[in-house]
Order: sequence, then structure tokens, then C-alpha cells
Amino acid sequence: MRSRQAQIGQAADELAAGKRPRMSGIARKEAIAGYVAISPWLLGFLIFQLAPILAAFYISSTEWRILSAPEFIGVRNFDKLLFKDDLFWQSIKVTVIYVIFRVPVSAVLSLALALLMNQQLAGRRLFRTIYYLPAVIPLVAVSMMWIWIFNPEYGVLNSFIRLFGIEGPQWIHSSRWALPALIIMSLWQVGTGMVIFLAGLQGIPAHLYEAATIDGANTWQRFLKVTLPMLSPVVLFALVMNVIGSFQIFTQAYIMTAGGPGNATLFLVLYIYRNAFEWFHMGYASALAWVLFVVVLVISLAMLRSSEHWVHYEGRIGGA
Amino acid sequence: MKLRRRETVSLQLVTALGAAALLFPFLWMISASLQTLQEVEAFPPIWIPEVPQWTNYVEAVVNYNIGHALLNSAIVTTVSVVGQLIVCSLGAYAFSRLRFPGRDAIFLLFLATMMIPHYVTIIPLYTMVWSAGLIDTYTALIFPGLFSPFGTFLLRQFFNQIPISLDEATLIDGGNHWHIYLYVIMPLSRAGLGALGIFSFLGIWNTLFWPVLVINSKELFTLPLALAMAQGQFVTLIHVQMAGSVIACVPVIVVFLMLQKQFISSIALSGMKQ
Repeated sequence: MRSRQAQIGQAADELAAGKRPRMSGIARKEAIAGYVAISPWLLGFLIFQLAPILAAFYISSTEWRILSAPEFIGVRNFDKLLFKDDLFWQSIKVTVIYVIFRVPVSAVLSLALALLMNQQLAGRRLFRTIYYLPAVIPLVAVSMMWIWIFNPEYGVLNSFIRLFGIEGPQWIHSSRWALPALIIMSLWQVGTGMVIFLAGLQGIPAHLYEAATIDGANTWQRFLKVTLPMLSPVVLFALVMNVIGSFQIFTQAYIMTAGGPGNATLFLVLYIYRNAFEWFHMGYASALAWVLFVVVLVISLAMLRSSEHWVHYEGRIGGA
Repeated sequence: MKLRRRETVSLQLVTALGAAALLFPFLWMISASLQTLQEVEAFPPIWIPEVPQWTNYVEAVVNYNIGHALLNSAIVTTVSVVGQLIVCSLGAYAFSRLRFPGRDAIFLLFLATMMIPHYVTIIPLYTMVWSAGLIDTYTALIFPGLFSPFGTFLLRQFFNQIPISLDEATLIDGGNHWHIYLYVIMPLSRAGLGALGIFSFLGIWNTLFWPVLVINSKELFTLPLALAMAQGQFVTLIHVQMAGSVIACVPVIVVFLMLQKQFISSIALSGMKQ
């Protein structure tokens, strides 16, 4: 290796000779290709992602009714939503209840389905198709379908309950049952989770099960000591993704309940939509959107943090 | 794991029952789309209509504007998916393969913005589209979606797995960086491109929020928007609504059945839907 002094000396010589350190021809060609390749995406990123983020930051500190110029009001939007807006807290409450029930129940259901699909059953591929199908069709169509399934008078659900001589609830027309109804409906689309878990299950090496069987483990023990730990990274991934997605529920409430009855399904994104595009409180709506971001971020980080205690990574020694 | 015969039979039964329960709403939707209004509202529910009412579909296409919306959705989705694949693959190629000053800084900035939900940027985006006079245009529906950060990230991860020695071989053989992109990276990334294509196909075909904001006139309604508007307008006409819903589902189901394997790997790869 050349000494530092020699390097400096050479650089000084080059400078004295009027040469500037520059890219070689090959590197320059590569850089030009790089700029050309990235420019369409980069332009889009700057205009449609970065600029809106910066703008949203500013807008959230203004009072802006879109037709007049925005007026700077500092943190007053955040002050209002935290301390003076009951509807904001209602939307947080409704959204959090939805997430708390939907995420774990759908995780358990999709895990159960994935375990089933991982067995040597007849018609496995057909069943996998059927289980996954509800997850691909448009949410608007799903919502319209379920409006009628939940119809208290002639919907199929209450007609079924009536067979047992019981009159079913008013479902989406009742402030008490509307939220549970949307949670039940969301469980219809467990196929996504099932596919993720199934991919995880198929990645577990068979020799682990063989070794456990030789050691005398029964089915239940193999599930607890092999399947669950090996699957835990996938479980973490699926849970975080599901939490992020569930916090952003909008279409179902927009189509089926319009946030009602009595704000029983006023989810946070629906409330953002109303503020921005029905009442034109752009500043306040932006502040609400930032709250959505912070809440999702904090919960995701907390889940990742907690995962140190329950997620098993291959190759880590002594991990719990 | 080997199972005993009795266990296998009971698992098979559970699987079949679960599948039947999941298919139930679908079957009801199809059956209701072929019934008269009286049959839909009958108790106990009727499953097989006396005379299939195919006219419900005609009514949906004409009164609900579903035919036009189907065409709009097809145009918007096709252009968006193809455009996104081109823009994102070029960006991902630059991030993954080409060295140029500022690349890593841009990538860091990009990563930092990835966690920020769509709903934060949608208000400024809407005001941009509005003040540019682009409300009620295909441009408004298609353009902002072309530069998917998620797509670029996904493809970059994919490209990173392709051995760099292939690039070097191309350069030694006298090829340039565009040859590498066209003849090495793209052909070897079919699975990744397919995954992104399916992912954005589903997202764009099914989305409601953005079209609700930027489209007002019937002529430009996409399918979800047309259905949503019809739902508000013809609240009681269940049978026609179900016919409209079936029409909206059919293209997705057909594509799904054709590309099932790719769908599954796309979900496993991207891990999310909404």
C-alpha cells in the first residue's frame, strides 16, 4: 500500500499539472445510463411522493378551505383533534376495535386454513382456489354482496338464524352490530393470510419433523415446538402487514354504512375523507392523516420490538 | 406428516364445509342476479330462480353504465400496469446495477418515505390534479399511479439476486447497459415482474378512493365507482345490483384462474393486498 504522503503528493502533482481527479470513461457511461434509467421514476417520485409529503406537512399546520389561500395556524389542528374533537376520538376508537378483533382472529383462521391446505387432502388445489377467491374480487362488489347478506328482513344470514327460531340482529342498521358485522365480513377474506402462511409452512425442512418424531413428539408437540417457532417470522410479517392494512379500512364503511349508524363505523380514513372532500377542511384532514401515520408507525415498531421475545430466527443461538 | 385414516376423513370434511361456507355468499350473489325482485325478497330465500332473469344484466349494463365502466377500467388498468412495469423496472435497474453520484442518497430518501400512508399524500395530490385542471381525465386516473415506490422497491430486491457476473459478461461481449437491462435483467425477472403486475392489476382494478376524488362524469367512471354510485342511486334494486357485481367480479376471477400460480407467489412475495 502506498503511503498517505505519496498519495497526497501525487494528487498535488496532478493539480499542479492542471488535471482534476475525474471519472473514467467507463464509469461516466455507467453514470449517464443510471441517470437516464432512473429519471422517469425519480421525476414521478419527486412530484407525486416527496412534494406531496412536504406539502402535507405544511398543509397540516394551516386552515385551508381549498378556494381561499391557506392560513398558517401552527399546531392548532393537532390541538383541536386531541382535545376538542369527539368525532376524532370516536374514529380512533372504532378503528382500534376493528383492528384488535380482526387481526388476531383472521391470523388464527388463516393459520388453521394453511395447516389444512398443507395436508395431503384430496382436491387440495381446488380448495386452495376457493379459499383464496374472496380475497381477489373487488371490495366494492364484496360490500354490495354483504349489504344484502346482512339485510335484517330478507338477508340470507337472518333467514338462516330464523331457522333456529331466533330473530337475528339488525346488523349494519344497528349502531351496536354494525362494527361486528364489518369484522365478520372481513374474515371472509382470509385467503391472503392463508397463502402467506402456506408459503411459510412449505419452507420448514422436513427433517425437523422427522427428528421430533424420532424423539417421540406427538402431533401437538410437533406443532408447538417445530411449526410455530419456524413459522414465527412469517407470522410477524403477516401480523404487521394486516395491522397496517386494517388501520386503513375505508371502502366497506363508505359503501355499506356511510360511517353510521350514529358514527358506529366512522373509521379514521373515512373521517379523513369527510373532512377533506366533503367539508373541505384540508388542513385538518392533513393533520388527521399524519395521526394515522404516527399511530401505524408506533404500533408496527412496538410489534417489531416485541418480536425479539417470540420470533425465532434460524441460526441464532440461545434465542427464545 | 402422515395422518391416520379417521383424521384424514374428518379434516377432509372440515375443509369441504369451510369451502362451502366461503362459496355461499358468491352463490347467493349469482343466484340473486338472476332472480326477480320478488324472489330476492322472499322468505325463506329462493336459491334457484323460476325463470333466470338475464334481463337484469342488460339493465345493469344500460342503467348502471356498467358496460362503459368495464371499458374504462380495462383501459386504465392496462395502461397503468404496463406503464408501472416500465417505469419501476428502469428505476429498479438503476438502483440495483448502475453506480452514479447521488444514488444512495436518493435511495435513502425513498426508503424514508415508504412507510408514509397513501392518505397523507392524497390531499396534496388531489389539489395538484385539481389546480392542473385534470379532474375528470384519464390522466388523473393513470398518471400518479405509474411511479409506485413499492413496485420499484420490490423489483430492486429482485434484481439484486441476479448475479452481477452476467452484466460483466455482456459488457465484455461489447454490449452496453441497455443491453443488460433488456437481455439479462428483464428476462431473468419474469417472476418478479409478474408478481408486481398482478399486484398492481388487483390494486388498480379494485380501487375506489382515488376515482371517487378525481372523476365526476359518468363517461369516465371505473367499475368500482360505477357500482358505488349505482348502489346509492338504485338502493332497492338488489337483483340488478348483484348483476353489476357479478360483472365486476368476472374479469378478476378469470385472470385469477388463468394465472393462479403467479397470483399465489405474488401474494407470498408482496404479502399484502389493500
